[in-house]
Amino acid sequence: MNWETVIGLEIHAQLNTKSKIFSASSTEYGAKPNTQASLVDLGYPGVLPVLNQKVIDYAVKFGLATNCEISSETIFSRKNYFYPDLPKGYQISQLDQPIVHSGYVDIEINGGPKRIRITRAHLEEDAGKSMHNNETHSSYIDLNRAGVPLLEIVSEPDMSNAKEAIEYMKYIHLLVRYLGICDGNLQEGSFRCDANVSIRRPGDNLGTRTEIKNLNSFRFIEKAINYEVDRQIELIESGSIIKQETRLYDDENGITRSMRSKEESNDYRYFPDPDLLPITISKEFIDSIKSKLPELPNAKNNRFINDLKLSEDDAKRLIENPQLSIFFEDTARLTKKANSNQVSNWIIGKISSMLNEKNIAIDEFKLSSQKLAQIIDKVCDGTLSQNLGSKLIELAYDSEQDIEAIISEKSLSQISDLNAINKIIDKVLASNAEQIQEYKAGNQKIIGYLIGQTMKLSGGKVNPNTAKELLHKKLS
Amino acid sequence: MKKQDINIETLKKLSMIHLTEDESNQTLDKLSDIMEMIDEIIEVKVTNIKPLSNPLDQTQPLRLDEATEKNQSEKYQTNAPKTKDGYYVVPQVVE
Amino acid sequence: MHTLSIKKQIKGLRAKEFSASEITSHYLSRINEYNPKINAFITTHPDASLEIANGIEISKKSNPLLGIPIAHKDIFCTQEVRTTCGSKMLENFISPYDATIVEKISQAGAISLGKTNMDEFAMGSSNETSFYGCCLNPWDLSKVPGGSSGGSAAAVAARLTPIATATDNGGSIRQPAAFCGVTGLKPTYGRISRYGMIAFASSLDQAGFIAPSAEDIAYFLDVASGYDPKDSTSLNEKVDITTEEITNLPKNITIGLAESELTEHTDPRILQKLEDAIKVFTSIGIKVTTVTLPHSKFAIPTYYVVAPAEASSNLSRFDGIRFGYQTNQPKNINELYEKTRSEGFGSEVKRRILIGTYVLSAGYYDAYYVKAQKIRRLIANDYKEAFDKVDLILSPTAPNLPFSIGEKSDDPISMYHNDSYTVGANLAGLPGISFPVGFVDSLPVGAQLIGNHLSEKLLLQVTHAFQNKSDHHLAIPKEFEG
Repeated sequence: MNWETVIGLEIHAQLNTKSKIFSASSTEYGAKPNTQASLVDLGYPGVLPVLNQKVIDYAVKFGLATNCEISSETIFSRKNYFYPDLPKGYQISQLDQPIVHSGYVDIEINGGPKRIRITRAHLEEDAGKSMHNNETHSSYIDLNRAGVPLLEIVSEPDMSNAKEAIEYMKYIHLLVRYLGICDGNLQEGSFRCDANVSIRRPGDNLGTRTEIKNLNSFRFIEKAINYEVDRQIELIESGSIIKQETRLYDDENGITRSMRSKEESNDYRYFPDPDLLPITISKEFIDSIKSKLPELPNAKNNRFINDLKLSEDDAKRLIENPQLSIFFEDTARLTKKANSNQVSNWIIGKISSMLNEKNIAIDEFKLSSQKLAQIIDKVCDGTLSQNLGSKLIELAYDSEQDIEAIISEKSLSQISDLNAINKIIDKVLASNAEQIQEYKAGNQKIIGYLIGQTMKLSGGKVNPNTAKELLHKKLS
Repeated sequence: MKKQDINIETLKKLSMIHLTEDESNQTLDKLSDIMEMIDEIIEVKVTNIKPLSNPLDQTQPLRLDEATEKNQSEKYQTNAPKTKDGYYVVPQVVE
Repeated sequence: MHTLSIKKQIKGLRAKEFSASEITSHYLSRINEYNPKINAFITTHPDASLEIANGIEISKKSNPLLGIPIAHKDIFCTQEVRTTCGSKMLENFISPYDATIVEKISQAGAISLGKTNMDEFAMGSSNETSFYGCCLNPWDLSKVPGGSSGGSAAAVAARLTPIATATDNGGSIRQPAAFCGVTGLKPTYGRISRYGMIAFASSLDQAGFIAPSAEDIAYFLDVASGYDPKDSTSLNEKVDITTEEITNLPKNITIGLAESELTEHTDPRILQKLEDAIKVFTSIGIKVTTVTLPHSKFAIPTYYVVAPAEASSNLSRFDGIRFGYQTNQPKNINELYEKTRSEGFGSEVKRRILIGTYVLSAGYYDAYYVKAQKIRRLIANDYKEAFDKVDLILSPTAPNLPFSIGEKSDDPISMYHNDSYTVGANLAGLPGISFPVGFVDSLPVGAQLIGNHLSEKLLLQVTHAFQNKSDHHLAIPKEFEG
């Protein structure tokens, strides 16, 4: 039996503004419960929402980066339902006239682009958090998150399998970080995804869809979608129908299960929020946002591959981290001798492993791109060996001194004087008579050992190739 | 507006209001009367008229993105009937 | 002292004829003596009021309002004093903040005497839905004072306070002012900040004042008005009415008497009083003509779609979780919600929530809510066109005299029609003032002037001119004269 899968994704991206969308409370993650909940967030009698300027900037930024139409007038509406983490008994969101709509992104699938249309992206406030305790039979409500701004990004059901869904989600995840509007931290819940999944026979109308929530990792999405598709196929093939419902992904058991939903056949009774006035978005405003848009990931990727001649893999590694790709380019711009590929190797290699070791992000990395560029150039022109270069990076990281000062202080320069190198080689040969015999007996490979000894004795300051050449000469 | 058109049970559920059967019936009667009065608007012609959501012709003022609110949770929670360790406590919600 | 206008009180305080303490004590003892008769106040705090008054020193340079007592409708949040909104839901609610209007008035030096009675959550036209008992009309204790600002109007009429704040979203300042023989102003929508005013219908609600005369109101209007960054719907416009200006009557003012079918349902004796008022206007050089507001008969049904719809949403926050009344030992979360709200709200409030829920619900939203908002625009357009021809629009404030307590409480539709003349101004966001124009059967009758957006100054000037030529606003019910 031939089944087609139809998937649409709803992504909620928390906008990383300093204050909430309708109140001046902090949005910082991890605060003690209810310490970032003002009277407006708590829905006290008589309080009123006041709109944060930044969320408009961010939403328009997103709209421009995804080829959306930007509404010239946008309004907020109330979505009415009862839940303890929703203090006002309604969520301020957008229904009619969302801020941006009708756009698209192109993702890479099997070597070619696939267009995923974006129906709309709208602004709304996040709800608080509830913790349910089976022992005390109580739920504990923390409203710190209530009022944090969200951009809800709704795609058309243009994806046909889990892989496409993941690629799309990854692209949006990358994009919002490039735009600087969301930190994309899935663990902290700043980037959440729900999937709408249905199946149909090719040529048929859309089938009944289910909504799957709680997909807070890329891995979850793949498993959840695949499970759900199988579940739906099995149901239909056995003669049942699909119930339109919300399901939770249960990773422990690898299944989706029906949610006893707060939104069960709920009529939200949307109407324009009378406490907020319409927002007009002028062409001048849009143009000013456009002029400040950063280079987008796809464009950057193409430029890295076509102009800077990086490999696809290397480009991808760099692009994945917006700040890292910026650091890379800054460094590459400053090197005088090394080319982009060489710089990229250092970034993907030594720098990335240092970041991992220290468990920090590139914006906390203490070595400047200027200093790194200098070091890479010195390796490139032979002043330093690869090893020494690596060592110098570590030394320079913790030091205020400039590169030249460290090199001379620690005598890091490679020895370039051939006489000096020969003297070291003589010493090595003098204490390795056996190995000389072996070499002369035909074991060419032993030269590697001798090179190693030379490196050791010189404190790594001899260029291994030079050592090899000179050893060869002496031994022949 | 016939009484049957108003599903009082749905309305009660949506607005989280409990009424006894007697109260429901009485309320339904009154609601029907009120809706009959409201139905006078049916005859009004409103072609090409834009809804007026707000009597002002203004646009929304915008606030600078600054976190200026200070933590006053202790003060606020003196108003709450049940709290624990800074949380608001309610009977368990089953999801 | 209670027969003095605010102007004279200010003068007296400056001239040290009496002190802030004395005037405050005077009103407090009147409240003590007379309030039990009319139940105009829900909460008083005599010690606190006196403490503030005792600490006041008035010099020639002081803010004019320094030392003048005022009462606040119990819909405005006040710190340290409970704010009940006339409901059991907020019986013990102490707000952690002051409403902007309360803050501004207190900063100007006026002294709060207490919180006045009102219909529960401002839903009513008689003050009968208050959880704290009905308020009685000082002119006839068997009659209602009007609502929802019944307590403010009654307190002013009985001279238990020189002035009171009040709110109006369908007539709740103007109608009780008319029923109690005092003056009540509802400003332009957005003129006074709604921050701290417990919301009923956000696009209609507006704060205002009730006092014996227009001049009294003028003293407070400027202080209370102005843009508030905490209220997105507040206007950035100065009222700029100095009390000297109020004595100016601009030339060539035209008043349009609203012709409509509503007059058929209006007590003819009230219409007669209106005719008398017109004679006074004409005598001071104001031209009176007629205007029509073709959609005015749809104002009530339109209002009763829009207001309950917004209220049903605004009142969803009352769930007992973070503040307010909570039902005893709810077994589960649903019970928490349902019982808290059923026990905490009175029947009129519940009714309006259900209506509001209904007109917003799927399948009905377009036919009711959207349609009502369109008719609202037609109504606003009617006024716009009328103001091309006239400066102000005149009508009775209410179609009937103050009715007996209990007479209409079982008949919501009859009750709703009390607002027939007043709701139009709320739907269009226009300012309106009600002022006393006489008595019928010893009961006060009020007339209403509605002006264009931002025309409070003209409304006060014209009303003041009228009040210079009449004395209805000076009358005090016999029982409360002492």
